[in-house]
Amino acid sequence: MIERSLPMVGRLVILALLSAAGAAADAPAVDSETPLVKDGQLDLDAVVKHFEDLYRSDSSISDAELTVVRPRTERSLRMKVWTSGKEKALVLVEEPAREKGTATLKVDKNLWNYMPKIKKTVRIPPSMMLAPWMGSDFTNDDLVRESSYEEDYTYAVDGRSEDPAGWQIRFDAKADTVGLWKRLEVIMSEDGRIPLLARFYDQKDRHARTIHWDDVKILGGRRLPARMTLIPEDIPENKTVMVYHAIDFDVDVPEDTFSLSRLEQVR
Amino acid sequence: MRLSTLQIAYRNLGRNKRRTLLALSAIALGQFTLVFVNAMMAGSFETMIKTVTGPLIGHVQVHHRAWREERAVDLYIDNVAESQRAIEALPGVTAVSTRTYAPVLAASGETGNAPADAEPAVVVGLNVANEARTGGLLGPLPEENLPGAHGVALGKALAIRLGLERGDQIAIIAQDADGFPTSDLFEVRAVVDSTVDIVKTMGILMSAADAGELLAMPDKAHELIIQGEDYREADILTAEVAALPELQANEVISWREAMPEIVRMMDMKNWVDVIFLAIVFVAAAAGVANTSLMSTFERTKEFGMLLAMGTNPGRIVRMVLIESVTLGLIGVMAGSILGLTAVFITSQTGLDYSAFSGIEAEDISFAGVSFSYIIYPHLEARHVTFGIVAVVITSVLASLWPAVLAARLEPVEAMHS
Repeated sequence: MIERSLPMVGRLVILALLSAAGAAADAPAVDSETPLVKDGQLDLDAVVKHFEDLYRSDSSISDAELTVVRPRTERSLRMKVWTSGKEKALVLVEEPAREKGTATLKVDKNLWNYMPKIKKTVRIPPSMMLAPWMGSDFTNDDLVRESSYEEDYTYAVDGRSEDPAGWQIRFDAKADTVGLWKRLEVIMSEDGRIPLLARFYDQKDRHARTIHWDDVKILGGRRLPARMTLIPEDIPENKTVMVYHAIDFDVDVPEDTFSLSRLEQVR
Repeated sequence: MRLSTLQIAYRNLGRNKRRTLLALSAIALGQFTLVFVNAMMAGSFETMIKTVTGPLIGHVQVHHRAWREERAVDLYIDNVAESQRAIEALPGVTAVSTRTYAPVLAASGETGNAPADAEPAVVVGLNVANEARTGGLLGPLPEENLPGAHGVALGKALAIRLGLERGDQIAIIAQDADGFPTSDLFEVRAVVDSTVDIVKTMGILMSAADAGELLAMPDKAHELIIQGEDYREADILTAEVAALPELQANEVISWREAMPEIVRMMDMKNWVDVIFLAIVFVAAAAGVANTSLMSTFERTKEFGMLLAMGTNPGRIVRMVLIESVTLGLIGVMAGSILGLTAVFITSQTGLDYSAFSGIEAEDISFAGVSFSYIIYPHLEARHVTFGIVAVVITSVLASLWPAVLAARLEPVEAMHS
């Protein structure tokens, strides 16, 4: 299998799932109230920057629940997530009991899984990057990919969207960007603050993925969608739902959290 | 003394020995090719079908109705033990094996400096005792190397990729039938070089009990593989198995449905049979038509004389026809004897066609299964009889025109020509 880059969704997942932090220099307190609309028009640059920074922070600790829905089964994992910068993350499964201690460590583009039952850590090699992460509709690649809406895509307001009601923004991959997605459509709320829906189109311009955001709450002092639902359009009866119960932004996370020796000790 | 028409025909064939011999060789060569090539192809298909229906797919298979479409781990057959007993009770069933398949991540379980890289693999849970027989997936493995009790056999290519040898530990990370992550450590008991590509490149063979535990599916399996006495009887066996009350929730198919590529190739082979038959037709037709036309024209005077003496024109037609049929029959018999001899000899010694094609490999892979290059031709009676019938028919058809021509001669004109 060829390793392909997955710029946009990588960012989306890292933002939503791992609360990846931006560069240390620009970690402002995120203003999540003032509408980003001037004279009835969307302030596009500000909206894209806000979208990109929505879950960003130098470091974070969050409690989340991952639910994988299949035609005949549904299962949920309760997990705790630590992040530092956008390079490092640790995901630790806390419930159910039989999965407790299962962990994923990301450092830069490397990914390791720890299985407590057999006390083994396994590295996910580049050839396995497009395989599902923990049996969900996310791929391993979604976790490690680092890319930027602002830098890798050109964007423009497509107009108003009816369902859901808001602004539709179109992102087109820049010519020199190698990625799974050719373009995507993101629908932002009326005030330009909250993402509602994103449609991903692959290099053959087929609608391949849809992400819904909802359940807007104040989490860690920011107004954010607490729930994200991913639907792979090639198997639309499958979906993966990520729900945040709590996020702490800019908290102290010791650097040694993100090491292999810690991976095998976290309980 | 009144000569019979047959005797006359036979003598006439002897008049131009060279021409007759040429016609005979053309027919004989055609028949020889037909018999030998068909037997060779039948032999290679026999090997192919036996290879395929042996370890990989059996004669009849049972699955969950949606299994072949989706291959999801939770599409299993329930109450396997009970179903297995019911099938084994059927007449003509020689073995019933269960298979469980699951895509997994595998990595070396040995303690090293850095965590081992995971590789995609496929867990195949099976009945060790059944598969350990000749032709089974575990081939002729010695007793102590068989999977079971947390011991597995690895496909050779997978073992190389993981850097594992016999006696090492392997870590397997999977999702069980309920979709939950699951993992376990196993000991590598053997590394197998299977004829089945998927097993060789990705296979982790373990006992049905271990697979059931790892995947949280006790008394469940994804596939039942049923061996009958003869793969040709598979359709009858399929119907019998499908009628069992224990299996009503499942899908029952024969190897023909499970392996459509092979069936398509066999259909193609039937067309090749027809082509060879056509070659024999043409050889016989050309040989017989030529011989009989020439000899009829040469004997215009003679036929005129016979007719003038009051010979019945019908007898002249019979004479020419019998002459041709005799020619055809002698040729086809000679060809059959040569063909049968060649088939008999090569079916004892085997025919290594990699030697002809200059290929170094020991086997050839098709539809995910490797086959030996050595063919043991297999004679089917129809390969001989079709040729004989074809030659007789063409002999009659090809000589009908010259025969009628001879019978219609005007006696006086013919004698003066």
